[in-house]
Amino acid sequence: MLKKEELISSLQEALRTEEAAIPLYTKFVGSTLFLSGFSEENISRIERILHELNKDSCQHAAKFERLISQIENGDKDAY
Amino acid sequence: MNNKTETSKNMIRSLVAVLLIFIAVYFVLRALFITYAQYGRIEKVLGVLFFLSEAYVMFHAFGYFMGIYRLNKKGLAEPETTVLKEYPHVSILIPARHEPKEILESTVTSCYNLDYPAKAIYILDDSSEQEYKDQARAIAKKFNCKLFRREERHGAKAGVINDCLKNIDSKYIAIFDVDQNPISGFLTKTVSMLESDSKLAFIQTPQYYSNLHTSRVARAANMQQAAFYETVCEAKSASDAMMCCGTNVVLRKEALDDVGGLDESTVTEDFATSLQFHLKGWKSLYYNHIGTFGQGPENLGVYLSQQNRWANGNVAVLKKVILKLLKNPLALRPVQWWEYFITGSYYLIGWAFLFLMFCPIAYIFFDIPSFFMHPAVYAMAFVPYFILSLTIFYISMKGRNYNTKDIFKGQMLFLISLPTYLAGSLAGLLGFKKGFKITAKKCSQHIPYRALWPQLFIWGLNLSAITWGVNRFVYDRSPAVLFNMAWILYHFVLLSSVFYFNEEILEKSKIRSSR
Repeated sequence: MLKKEELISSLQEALRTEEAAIPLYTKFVGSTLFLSGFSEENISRIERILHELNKDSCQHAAKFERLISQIENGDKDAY
Repeated sequence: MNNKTETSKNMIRSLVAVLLIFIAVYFVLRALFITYAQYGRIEKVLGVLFFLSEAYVMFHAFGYFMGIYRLNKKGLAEPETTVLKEYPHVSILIPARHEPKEILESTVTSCYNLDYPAKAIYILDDSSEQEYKDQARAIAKKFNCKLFRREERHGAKAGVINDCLKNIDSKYIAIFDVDQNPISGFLTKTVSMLESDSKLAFIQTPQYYSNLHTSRVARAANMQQAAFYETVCEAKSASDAMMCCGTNVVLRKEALDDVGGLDESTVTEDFATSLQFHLKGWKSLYYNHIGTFGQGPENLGVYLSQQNRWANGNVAVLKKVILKLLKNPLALRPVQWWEYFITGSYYLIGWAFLFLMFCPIAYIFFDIPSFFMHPAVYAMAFVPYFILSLTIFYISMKGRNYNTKDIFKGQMLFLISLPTYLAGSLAGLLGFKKGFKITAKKCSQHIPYRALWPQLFIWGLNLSAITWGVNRFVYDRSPAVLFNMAWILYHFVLLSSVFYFNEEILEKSKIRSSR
């Protein structure tokens, strides 16, 4: 069982780590592709994958934020 | 090492050796021609200045290519590392002043996500405006990191770091500029290197700009950084003469305490402090793996003010280097003095290029020769050097996956920076300490052309010389006119890039206004 504060803290930690960091890392990786020596086709493929990863992370972050808000405003104190 | 790599290294070494011979032959010939030239006083003065300018440029070229030679001879050994059983505490310092919230938050996010367990993050907020103070406080609270502020500002970045260090007891100090984002393994790797050698004062890693696709200036500036961080720094590290670059660096607190903290007397506190480290017998290391992603200057104004600061600071440190050398020549090894001198004097190259650009123009307009060599001899002695030096440079950079177009853009940006080098180096020589100007991270902005008047003036002068030179060549079809015109045209083409780097902004403005 998790108390409300503990759950919120875990969700906020997830926001600070994975969901905030992944968009940064995908941007970094994307900026190095022109130095990779990969073919244009592979570069495009990697860029598409990174874009999807970035999009997913942004969606996860939005979901986490909604969840945190829901839990904060809810009456339940044990999860 | 495979055969292909070994063959490539041998080829580069051979080319560099040939190049050094070309340089020597060219100089001997030039010296002879100047000595025995039968010209008037003004021509001789101009001739000597022109020769000294060439010598200066070739001196720096010699330093650069000797570095390439050394690297291709013995290679750069992978730094020793220790498998960490314990994790010494690292304090991560992020100096900031009036930084946009998203920039600061990205850096704190990256530092927060470093996979190193024993760390503390400090935002060193020197902001005076309430909006930025509040943002920094909010970010510090969100990431549970420490916020350091001081009552009195002094010494800009070096000053705030020194003030913060008084309260820190960590074994290592990592410094990141506010726009530099480390990847997760940065500290684990660098600390393991520091743990393997107790005499290492710091490990420096490269800067890399991640906004290459959004700004022409950032992309070309990254190319200039690449030439420095790929080859120059590796060569310096191999000679234990690597300088601290002020960001993306991990320092040993004991070494910092030993030299009294960062040197606040110049605007390039990192370079000045490196000298203190080496004078006290500490070692330094460069680890050429990108562990941090940053933001390059997005417009010419930001870029040129950055270059001005570096020119000012480096020349100020050069004065210290010369004084220390004269006082105690045995304090460093010869190759260390050499590396410090090369770096400290680099930005004086603006003065050399001033004469190199001016003298052909003086010949075309006023028929004042400054180059006392028969054109045929010049063609045989100089042209091979010029072509070979460019070839080696391009080969060495292409060998690290940089493309020709980007390398050329880096060269264009270099030439339009020369007036800035002149101004900055003069201020450094005269002891004017220019205030630390923070590199703005705003969206690209058009720079009014009046701010670029030195570049435009030289560009206009070259254009006028081309016009006059074409006219002159109709009546005077001498090889001397042709060679001088070739140089003027070369400078003109490179200087025209001022429109390329600035016009990008105008295009965006037109798109916005047409909607």
